[in-house]
Amino acid sequence: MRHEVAARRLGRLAVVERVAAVFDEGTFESAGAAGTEDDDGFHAVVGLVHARPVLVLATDFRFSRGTLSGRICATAVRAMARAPNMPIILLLDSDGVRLEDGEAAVGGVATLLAALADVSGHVPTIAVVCAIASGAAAYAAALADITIAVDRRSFAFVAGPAVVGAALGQQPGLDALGGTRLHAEHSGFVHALARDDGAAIRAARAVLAYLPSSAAALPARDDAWSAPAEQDVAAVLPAERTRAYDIQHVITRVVDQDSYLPLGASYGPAVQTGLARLAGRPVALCASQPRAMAGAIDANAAQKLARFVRFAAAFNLPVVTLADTPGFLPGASSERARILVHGAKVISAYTEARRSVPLLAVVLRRAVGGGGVMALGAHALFGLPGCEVVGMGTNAAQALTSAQGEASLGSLRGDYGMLSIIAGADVRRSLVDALARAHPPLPAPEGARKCSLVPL
Amino acid sequence: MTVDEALTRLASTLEADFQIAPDRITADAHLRSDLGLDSLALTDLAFLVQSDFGFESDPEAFRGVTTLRALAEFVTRHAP
Repeated sequence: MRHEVAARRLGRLAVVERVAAVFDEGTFESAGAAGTEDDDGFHAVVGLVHARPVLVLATDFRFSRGTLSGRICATAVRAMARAPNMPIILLLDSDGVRLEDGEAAVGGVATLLAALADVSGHVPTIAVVCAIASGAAAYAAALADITIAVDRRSFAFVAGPAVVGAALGQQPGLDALGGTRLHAEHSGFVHALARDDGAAIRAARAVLAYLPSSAAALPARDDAWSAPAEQDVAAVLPAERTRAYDIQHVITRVVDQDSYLPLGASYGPAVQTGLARLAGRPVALCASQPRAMAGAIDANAAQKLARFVRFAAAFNLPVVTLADTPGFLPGASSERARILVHGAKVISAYTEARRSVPLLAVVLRRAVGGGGVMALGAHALFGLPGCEVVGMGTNAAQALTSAQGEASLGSLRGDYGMLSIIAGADVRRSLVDALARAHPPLPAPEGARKCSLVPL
Repeated sequence: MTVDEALTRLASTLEADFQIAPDRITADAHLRSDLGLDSLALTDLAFLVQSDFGFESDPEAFRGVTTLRALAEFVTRHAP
């Protein structure tokens, strides 16, 4: 039995409180009222988030440890079918399948997970791991686009300690088996951490503000934006070309004030990904992190980047890339980690994204190899004086070296566009202007998706 | 702080926050088998103990703490 007093002291909310916290004030109707269903503690509720309808599916650990019965799964699938163009927020506190429900539960879970896979790329899905997400509940989160977890006090795993102990004779602790640091830093399953339930749910609301309701819609512009006070990017770049720095200092000089929302920062940290705004317009920001492995793109960073760029394209977000990288990480360890396969995902993701959303890129110091991939496909490509861009492979090897403020473009016009050399103080302005001139994102047809966002 | 002082405070936490009957809370009670605390409850207890006694510790450090007395001893070693 969950110890509710202790849980409350730790900021763990009751499920009704969690559901209410998702919605705009006054738009949530209590369980049992019109528009809601609750079944065995399970809540499927529609309300407004940022004045747009959103479907919330929430499990209640007090009822059979939040396990998913056949009936609960059917309720969830029905709710999803009745809310076809609404983002979905999963509030997970569940031990997975309700074994005592037998085949009904197993079949129900299979149907529910298939339904979540079916909406992937059609509507944004955000999972919040409030305490436990085991088995099927963990897979529901894994199928979501963004997973947020309560730091150090929530856990997700294929199977919990009791099962692992019985099946494998191992005795891992909860943290070692499925703790938030494991998932934020090593598996990439968790994209953001929050201090408690309330903060996690606020984070989910914050993510939704950048996204459209579906792939057929465009993200809403925020007219209440402010430009950063300091905009000169060159002022934060080290004079020594090979010296590391924190890309966060560049990001804050480029995007609207307080608009950067990092996602997956600790996983594959050599590439930072997150949502941001430029003059109020939501964008997907991908940035090299020179202080992590000099910005070399390892397997984890490549996976993260590819998935994020696909996510951006699916939901009509322009992709803004700040490149400062020596390329994909070489070496035997990197090869064993399948850098070739994951690097290919990056190439594919940018190539596909280019067809439907604007790609803007700035080469801060260098974009070599994989970094070239990040930059060269851009519709608008900028570089700071002295930047270096080297393309992919021997056939496509083109060197761009800017010397004395001038760029040698070689044969990179046409397919790859022009590289415009700009001053560090003009990075933000150039991106804002380019975004305003770029073709608008091409949304999916109504009721359709551009692609599934299954995490390959 | 003595071990006995820590035991008293921990017993109070177990009664108030985990709704465990006082007659079950003995110094040598096993946290799992006698007091019925599962993995998540033990994790929650570890966080509350750190908060209440004013110290921080890696979650893995608590893994060897299996009884209430062992927890009290752990607290007296780590609390300021």
